[in-house]
Amino acid sequence: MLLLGGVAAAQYSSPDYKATQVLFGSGGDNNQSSPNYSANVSAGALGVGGYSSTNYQAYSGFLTPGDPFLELGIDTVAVNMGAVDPGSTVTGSAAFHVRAYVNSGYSVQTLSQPPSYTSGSHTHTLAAIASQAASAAGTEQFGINLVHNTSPATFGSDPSPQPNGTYAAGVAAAGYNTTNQFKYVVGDTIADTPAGSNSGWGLTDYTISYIANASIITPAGSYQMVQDLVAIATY
Amino acid sequence: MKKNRSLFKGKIYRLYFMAIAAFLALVALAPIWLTPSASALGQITTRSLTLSSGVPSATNVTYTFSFTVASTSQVQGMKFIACTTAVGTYPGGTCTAPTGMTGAGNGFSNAAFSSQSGWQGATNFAVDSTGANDCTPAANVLCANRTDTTSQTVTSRTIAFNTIKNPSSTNTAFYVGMYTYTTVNYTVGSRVDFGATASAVVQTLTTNAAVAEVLNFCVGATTVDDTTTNPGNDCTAISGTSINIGTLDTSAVNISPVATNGGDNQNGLAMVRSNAGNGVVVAYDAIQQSGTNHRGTLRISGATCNPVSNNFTDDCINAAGTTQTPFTAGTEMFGMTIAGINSGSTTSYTCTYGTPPGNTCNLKPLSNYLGAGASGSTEAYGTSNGFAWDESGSAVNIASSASSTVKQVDDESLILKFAATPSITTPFGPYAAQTDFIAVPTY
Repeated sequence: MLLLGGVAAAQYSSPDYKATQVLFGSGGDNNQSSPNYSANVSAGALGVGGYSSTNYQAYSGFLTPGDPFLELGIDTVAVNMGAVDPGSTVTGSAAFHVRAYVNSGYSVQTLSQPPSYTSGSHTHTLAAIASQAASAAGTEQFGINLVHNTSPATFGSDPSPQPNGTYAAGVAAAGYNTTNQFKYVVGDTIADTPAGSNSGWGLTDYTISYIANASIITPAGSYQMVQDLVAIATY
Repeated sequence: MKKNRSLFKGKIYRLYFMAIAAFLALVALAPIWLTPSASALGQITTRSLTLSSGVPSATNVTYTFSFTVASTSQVQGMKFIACTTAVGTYPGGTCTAPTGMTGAGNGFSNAAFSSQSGWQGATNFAVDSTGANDCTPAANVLCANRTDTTSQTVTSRTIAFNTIKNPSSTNTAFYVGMYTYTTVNYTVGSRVDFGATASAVVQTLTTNAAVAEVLNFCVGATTVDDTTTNPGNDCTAISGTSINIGTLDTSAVNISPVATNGGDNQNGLAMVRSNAGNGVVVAYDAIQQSGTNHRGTLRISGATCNPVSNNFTDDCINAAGTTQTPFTAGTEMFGMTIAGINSGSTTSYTCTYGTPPGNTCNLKPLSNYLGAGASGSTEAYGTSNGFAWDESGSAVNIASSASSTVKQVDDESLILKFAATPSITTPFGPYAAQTDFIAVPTY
């Protein structure tokens, strides 16, 4: 049954042994475990799976390559939020993804200053929201979160593990994980994996939701931020 | 037969499961066989690499390695090798340098020690541009050493290097292997621990937003005669196209607001809202009325005035000129000044003018139109500095926010005071001056 099933997934368990998400064809068995032993295995590729106990840990192959692996991809090149005036809020969204194997989790930091503009000798940077807050039209603000929002508009998406939460556990980080609440602090971690487990496996799609508001005296001009995202994986 | 078939079937199943078990065991042990050389060294744990920028080809980037050594032996040498795969960083691995981490000036070529923490032994590492034995510096290989024989503890530590140039391929991960050596010259035999880290350079994500240009500018008449009373929340509340400073008499200088002798008890007001980042300038020009000579001053419309200045007998009251001057009652003169900046309708910020002396508002009266006090520190509400009036029709700047730290203006108002006094010989009649006011924001 284990090898000949030929289907995409199956789950097995006993008091001393458990196997979940067994994959064949190109083949794999992810997360086999008992209190003293756990394993991720797959078939059809060299060096597959991962194995761990208190004193032993090893990984390999098709589902989880045997070496440290990290992929951070920006899936959106540019976000144009449009023109904002004191009576309105502009929004935008952008996608990125993180795939990581054999790690103890990862975090994604944003390192860029908020959007700014320069005209002649004058430079102005939009005021970033230092603590989570709702969008307030008429108050100069710039903020982001990584979840689905319904106010000031319906936009954004929650982090999406691919193909499901069994394989990836990336989440929006604290401060950026509350719907309709926004924040932006340079250097903040905006996405990560829950602490305490090897939860960085797999791919998670993220959507950054942006909001910007202008006050009466926010200098007119075209503001731009070249967002510098950095993924930090711990192995 | 049936029983035999059943036994046979049972054996088949047992063989089948034994085969599965054997296969899984092989698979389980595969990684150990595949990376034998790495296992000869202690495994550096809880290791990560933090970049100060993930922008491809970014320069002056700081790479901070955080990790826990596996061995307690001294660490006098370290090698960091960047490759396109993790396996490439392993001992004996075939390393392909990440794109952009080859050649002079790239990658680690100009790296310098930045900081370290958590190490046992006080001596800092330094980048070793010469290298030796197992560590040959290159754009993708960084050697660092120190002379310090202090034994280490199995605890977390960091070491950072700066002025590194990132790999150049967008959305590409790269891997940096870390080796520790007990010696300063990186002999293979002194290699102690190893661990690979990963990071990535990604294409930049550009976020754009535009803030539309705003200018609300209005001129009107107001009974407000201070810097704090709200003359109207914004320009929609400002009205009036004229002020009347009453009947002139040689015994006095009529300064708006004049409530007697036909005066309407009003000042002029110019309110500005602008989000121009480089400031806004308010100017006026004297409209040239019908008549001859001195057409831009306080005059009887259509009259022919003497072209000579300081004539006290024609139908034109002498303009004060471009230089501010106090008026003397009975010496014919007409002019204007800014008594102060009113912020009664300003909501985006607070500012004061004149009390205490000084001007914290964003609009600043310019030279020759500052009513009282001195610019920059002792501005006061009033007209003691006198008045000026350029009758030529040329635009004259009277206030600006360009010199302010914050140059945007939220409904600040110039309180404009007009003043006139006649001479004994000034002809009787209705005198008027007409003025254009202009606001010029620079975005």
